[in-house]
Amino acid sequence: MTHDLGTVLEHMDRLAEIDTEGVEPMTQVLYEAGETATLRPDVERAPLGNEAALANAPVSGGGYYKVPKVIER
Amino acid sequence: MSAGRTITSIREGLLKKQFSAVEIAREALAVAERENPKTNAYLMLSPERALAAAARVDAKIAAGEDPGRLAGTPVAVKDVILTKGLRTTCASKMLEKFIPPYDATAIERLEAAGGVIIGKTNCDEFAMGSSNENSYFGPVRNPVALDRVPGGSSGGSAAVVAQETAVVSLGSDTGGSIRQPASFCGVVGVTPTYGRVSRYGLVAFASSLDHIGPFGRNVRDAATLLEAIAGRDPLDSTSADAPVPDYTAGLTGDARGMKIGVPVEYMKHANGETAELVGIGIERLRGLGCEVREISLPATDYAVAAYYVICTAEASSNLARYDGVRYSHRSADARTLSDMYTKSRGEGFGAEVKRRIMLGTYVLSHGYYDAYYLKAQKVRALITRDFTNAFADVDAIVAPVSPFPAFKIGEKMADPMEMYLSDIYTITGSLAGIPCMSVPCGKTKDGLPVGMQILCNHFEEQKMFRLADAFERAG
Repeated sequence: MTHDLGTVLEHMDRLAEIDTEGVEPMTQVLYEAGETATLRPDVERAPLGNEAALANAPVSGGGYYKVPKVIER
Repeated sequence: MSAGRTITSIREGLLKKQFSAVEIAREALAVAERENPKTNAYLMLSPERALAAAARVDAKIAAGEDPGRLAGTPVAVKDVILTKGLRTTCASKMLEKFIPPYDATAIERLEAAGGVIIGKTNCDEFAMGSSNENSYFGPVRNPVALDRVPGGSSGGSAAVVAQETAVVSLGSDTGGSIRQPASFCGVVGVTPTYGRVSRYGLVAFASSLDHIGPFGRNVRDAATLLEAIAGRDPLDSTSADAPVPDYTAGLTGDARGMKIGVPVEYMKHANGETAELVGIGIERLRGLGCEVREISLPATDYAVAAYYVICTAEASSNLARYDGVRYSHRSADARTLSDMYTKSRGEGFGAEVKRRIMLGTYVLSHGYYDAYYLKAQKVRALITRDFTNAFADVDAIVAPVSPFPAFKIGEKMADPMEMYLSDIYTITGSLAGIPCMSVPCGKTKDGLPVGMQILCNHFEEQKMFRLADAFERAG
């Protein structure tokens, strides 16, 4: 694993070779869209519900997720 | 399933009462059950859901209503897309028992259009891989050559379409996970524009790169499936508010006058036969009246490095949710809270997923952030700029999909970097968020399929499909 990670990081180091002076980082795919394109109407939606939300929990009880004891007395 | 069924032929047969949707579904399920042991492409069949969906289609036809553009079509779905009540594992031990409480938007839409989900397909764990060998449930074998990989990560979705155990399928693509398996299995695979299809209900790997897209045995089927699932979804704020055109209306077979760019940087890594077949494909485009010219995409050499920085960084963040508390594997011997996290994650994730989480955590860590993550985002901007400049002069770019055809199972597992480098031609389009697809362009002397990649500018799927369809017809 250490060797694998080393090889990949070595390849990633090639990024230092390319000149990016004055280039803005691209954090998201950009194309022409209105300023409010990512907004949606504020419409009420029924939540998942307690039972459905807990259905996949490895351990649950009393309507809650259960985890090993967090605070020691 | 009878060979050669298409979305169009099924819809026509249904409307002419030659068969019912339930009959088609039963037939597809029986063939899938019989054929699947050869490839391991399906992780699970969903007969109840399929027959219920098919019965709804039959009822609509009986009532004289429009049964939808996918009426009665057997569809397979990659197991990273949530299906309510139907186990969704991401081919990981981590989600081995996960039953989603809701459907992905793409699933709702394809069923609303009359599609019939017949099963969930195998893939690389959490869609991380290029060969489908990283599945907790074992590798998928390529139906064209059973000792070879189908490609990845959507290997199962490509294999079922090639094997004709489904008519079409859904996959997901982050850096080539639809196009590369489509190429390896000899089918059509489409990565639409980023934001074209809602990702609500797609298990997140790298959010700035993840796409849902279709596979089909021909361009028309793939275009029809995309049309059914595309469009704005209020549940995914990154889904684009652009109208969805009628993709199939433009499939006239006419590509005369289209300007095609062939990037010089892409042809140099491809192996002999792949380069040769793509070269013959380019000549076919010339024969169709396209105008072909060489172009340059100079930042290409840095794409693999930039991509693996960005995708591992995003993966390390996205996969933090598998905590053993809410819906993922919990270690049986977790005595303390920190035990629960470390042991559950240690047991639940496979080697490739761990590798990527660790790489991503590293490139985001204090002191390395600027050199890796920020730098990679700048290189991503340069790669996108290369495409923007190119599309000022050409309608489409044509290139290989992968440097080589399907390789033998186990052949490239020893060296992850070699596997990563094989994504070189597909990740550039992913980084730019442009639509791209693989269309079959011939076979090697050993009978292995090779795909040709077509890339167009944002939201120009219609143009891409027109070119691909004309190319397919001329083959």
